[in-house]
Amino acid sequence: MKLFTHHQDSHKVNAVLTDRCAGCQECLVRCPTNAIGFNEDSWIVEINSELCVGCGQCERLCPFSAIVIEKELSILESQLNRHYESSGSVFLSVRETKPSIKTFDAALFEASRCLECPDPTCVKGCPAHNNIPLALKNLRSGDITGARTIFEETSHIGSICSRVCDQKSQCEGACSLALAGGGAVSIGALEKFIFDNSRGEIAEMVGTSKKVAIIGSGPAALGACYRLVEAGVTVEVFEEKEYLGGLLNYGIPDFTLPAETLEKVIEELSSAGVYFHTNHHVSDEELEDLRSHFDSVIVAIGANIPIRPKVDGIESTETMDAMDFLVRYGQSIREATVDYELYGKKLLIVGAGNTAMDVARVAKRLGAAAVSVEWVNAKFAKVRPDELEEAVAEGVDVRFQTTLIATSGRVATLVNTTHEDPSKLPSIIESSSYSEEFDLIVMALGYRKGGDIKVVEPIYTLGETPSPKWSASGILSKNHNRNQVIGSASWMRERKTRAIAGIEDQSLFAVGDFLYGPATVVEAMASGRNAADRIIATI
Amino acid sequence: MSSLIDSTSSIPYGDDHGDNGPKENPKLRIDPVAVSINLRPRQTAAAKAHFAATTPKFEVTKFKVVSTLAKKRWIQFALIVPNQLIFWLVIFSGLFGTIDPGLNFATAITWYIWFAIVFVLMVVVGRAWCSMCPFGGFGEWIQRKTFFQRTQKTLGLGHKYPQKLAAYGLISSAVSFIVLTFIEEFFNIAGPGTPADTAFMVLGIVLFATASFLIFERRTFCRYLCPLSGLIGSIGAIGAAAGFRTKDRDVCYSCESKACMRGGEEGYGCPWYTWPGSAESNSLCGLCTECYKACPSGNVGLFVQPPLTSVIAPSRKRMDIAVVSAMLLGLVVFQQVNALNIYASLDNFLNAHTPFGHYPNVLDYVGLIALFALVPAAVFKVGALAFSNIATKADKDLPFLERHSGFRNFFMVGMYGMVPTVGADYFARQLPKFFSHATRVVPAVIHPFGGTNKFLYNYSILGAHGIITVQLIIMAIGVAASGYATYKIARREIASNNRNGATLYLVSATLIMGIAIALLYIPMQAAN
Repeated sequence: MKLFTHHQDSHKVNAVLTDRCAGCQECLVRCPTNAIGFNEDSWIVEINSELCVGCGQCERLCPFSAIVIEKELSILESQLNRHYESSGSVFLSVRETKPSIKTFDAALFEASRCLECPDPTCVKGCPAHNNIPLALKNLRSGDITGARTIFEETSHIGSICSRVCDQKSQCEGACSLALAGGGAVSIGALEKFIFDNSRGEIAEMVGTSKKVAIIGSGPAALGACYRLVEAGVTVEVFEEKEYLGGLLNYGIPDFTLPAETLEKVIEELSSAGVYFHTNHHVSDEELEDLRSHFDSVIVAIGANIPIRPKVDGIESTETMDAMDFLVRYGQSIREATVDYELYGKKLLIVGAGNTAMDVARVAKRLGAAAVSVEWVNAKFAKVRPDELEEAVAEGVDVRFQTTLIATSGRVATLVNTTHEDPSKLPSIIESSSYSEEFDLIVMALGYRKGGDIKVVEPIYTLGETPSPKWSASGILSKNHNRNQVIGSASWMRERKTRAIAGIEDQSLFAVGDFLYGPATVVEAMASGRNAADRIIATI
Repeated sequence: MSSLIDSTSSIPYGDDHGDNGPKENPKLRIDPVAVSINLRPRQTAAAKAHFAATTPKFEVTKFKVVSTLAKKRWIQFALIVPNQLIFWLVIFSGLFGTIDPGLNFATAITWYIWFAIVFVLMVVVGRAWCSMCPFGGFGEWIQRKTFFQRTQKTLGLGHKYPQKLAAYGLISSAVSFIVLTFIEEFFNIAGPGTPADTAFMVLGIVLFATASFLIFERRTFCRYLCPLSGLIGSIGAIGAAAGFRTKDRDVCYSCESKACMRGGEEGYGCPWYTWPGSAESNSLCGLCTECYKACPSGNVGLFVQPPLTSVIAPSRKRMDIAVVSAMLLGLVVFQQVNALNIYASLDNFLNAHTPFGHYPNVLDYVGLIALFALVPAAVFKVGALAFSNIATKADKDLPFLERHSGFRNFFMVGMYGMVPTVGADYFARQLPKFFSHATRVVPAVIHPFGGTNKFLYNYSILGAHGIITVQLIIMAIGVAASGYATYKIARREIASNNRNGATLYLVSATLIMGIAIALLYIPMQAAN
């Protein structure tokens, strides 16, 4: 089932630049709708505008920019309302806030918007390279389990990724429809639908005597675990905290990622034979010990050294780190306990990234007022747009181009900034300072890698020149203003997740945030999988 | 598996390192990006027949010294630098040197030597000049922000050449050649006039080229805007250099990277928008070696071909090249007539009676060029009316290069056939300056900024009679080549129920027009 509308735009034409088309047929082999034919007399391609849906993939990938697509995108708009209702009072639910696809028909409609591109750019946008078009094709044919199996070939934690990924800058941002300026297929929502409505299975194990220890139990560790277990490797996980899941557990509140989602994943791995040690801190000395007992050790302890701002008088003010805050109060939300500690208080959250939004939204749910300040321009903010939208809808006061410069007891001095160039730091407008009283200041400026385990520096396995497969899909094309960012960001992620630090005898690997600093859940997962792949390659 | 610390170590999957990875291990995950790609089949079944006649046989890059040099990133830089130095010297000596045009380095080198060399290169090789051109080279250095290295980021706006103009191919370039020639005639720059005028002209071209390189992507300037592009692109087809071509077309079609078009590790994507995989003429190969460097499978080579191959063999004749040939024919015949007394009378009359009061009068300049260009068009139109079996008219909805009609069929066959005549005419037209004054380069070189040494100043290599003889010999060769080319093309491509009659008509027409043009050299009396 394909759903097209046909516009009658007589003045808008698709054209092949006959002077420049070299007849290489890169466009013809990639056209999702078979709208490109070949003229053997003049040895150039021709566009059948009746079949063209205006996705513009050919225009983006033509090596000589010899195609012009002016036809408007003629794929039906998505019918999923993914916008958080922001009018009127908002019920601050402690359950998952993001709406799910409720019916199979709705999922089918959304999946039918997928053009099934022969060279899908969404796959390149996804750091795990899930075969999205094939999964959606299975879904369209009614085979939800089959769709899940396709996802699981590259990622077992689709239930998590679909909830926490920034799809707009990943798969959905790289979707042909988005690159053409339209609304992307709601890949995240469909992935969630598929994983929530099917059961996972770890592929049959193949016996091997190999033993691997993984330090940490966050997304990078889970990515490696699945891959190793599938290959029949014996895996033991060492987690220093009481709970498993690392940042997935304590860093992401339940209203974004419900606890049971993570629990299911852990259960799946446990029943496949992974042994989890909790409350087990691995020191430098013990690491050496582990290396002698295991064939390989993967260090996936994340990046959790908080970044501290330079603020006058901060020592004498009550402050809290965002992670500590989320561990402490996220617990109240998860267990739905009555917690009046923050009730009626006013919080200042320094930073407006995803963690800051989580802090603010937890605070709102516990009856506090939350002000989040971020010194960069909103245009360049790193926060997920949907997360920011939801937080603002819930009443969080987000102030961009504002920062904290001094505190004195409960009084915080805030100041505005100017920030027009994303490549430069914002500059403070001294005259704009104002004071405001707060009961608690939470630091959510991000984290850096560090800690007591030292591992060799990362090695990039890819050079500067993008892979031919990426160039040929048009994702890196600069012809189109939207995809410049998506394509190059995807390529940078690719370079990062393919880089694995390790030592020659494969006894030690460093992966995920621990290796390259804070990134996303899916990148950490992909990095873990890639390390596991290296280990498996030696079996 | 090799060292993991080694940045070139194999990884279990990947585009870049897949060949040395242990692929046989079934537990290995294969590259998920590759798995998701399901391309439609290409349509290349007809490729062999389509390109058969144009595929050159003799590869120059099979010689180690040529291939080694062509792989060097600095090779084009090395070709450009001497010319670059000469033209900056032209600018400086033109502006600050002696005002005696006969002794000034700028005028001497530009008008007595350079033009002659460009025409020889053009007729013998093709776009040889383009590979060493200082104007394009200068713009390209700035655009790429490097003299010769492979960089990933370019400077400038990177616009495409406007689609409406690009649809007419090389015609923009022919227009800019006619405009430049008008400017040159108007200020009598090539006369030669004052050396400063020559310097301003060269500087103007440098600025125009550099601005174009900053506005448009790749060598848009060289292909579409350079005054010489249309000339070299059409007449250069006589030349023996086939340019960089594919060794095995199937490898090109199945190539995943198309690095010769998009750019690869070692080379830029073709700055001229020519794909070795489908090139069938030397017309748009700038001999810059980038595709040769970029090709990941060593499937590109530099080839030579018998002269006239690129005129006769291509199965896809380009209407823009036919039109450009007619325009350039109009221009060169105008320049011949321009040397006759009858022209001076006409120009003086028009200057006295029209708002344009300066030689050359715009009306006779444009009018005569158009008239001389329309003569072959009219001749071929008559041929089409008499012999063509194509009943349909050109479909205006189709792109300019894709329209078909009886007239177009005859015009393209005829004008491609006329290319050797036009080439010979430009060459012959340039000879008087060379034979009369080329030796002036010696005193000019001795004193680049002007001196009084008149050693060899008044020496002529050939006298007027000698020059006319050489001109007529060259024209005879050109006209004969035109007759041959027209015959070969018409036999294959003319759409007529009376193929013999049509061929006879076209060959006779090209020969008669060619002889008429050649005979103009006698009354011209070896005029500059």
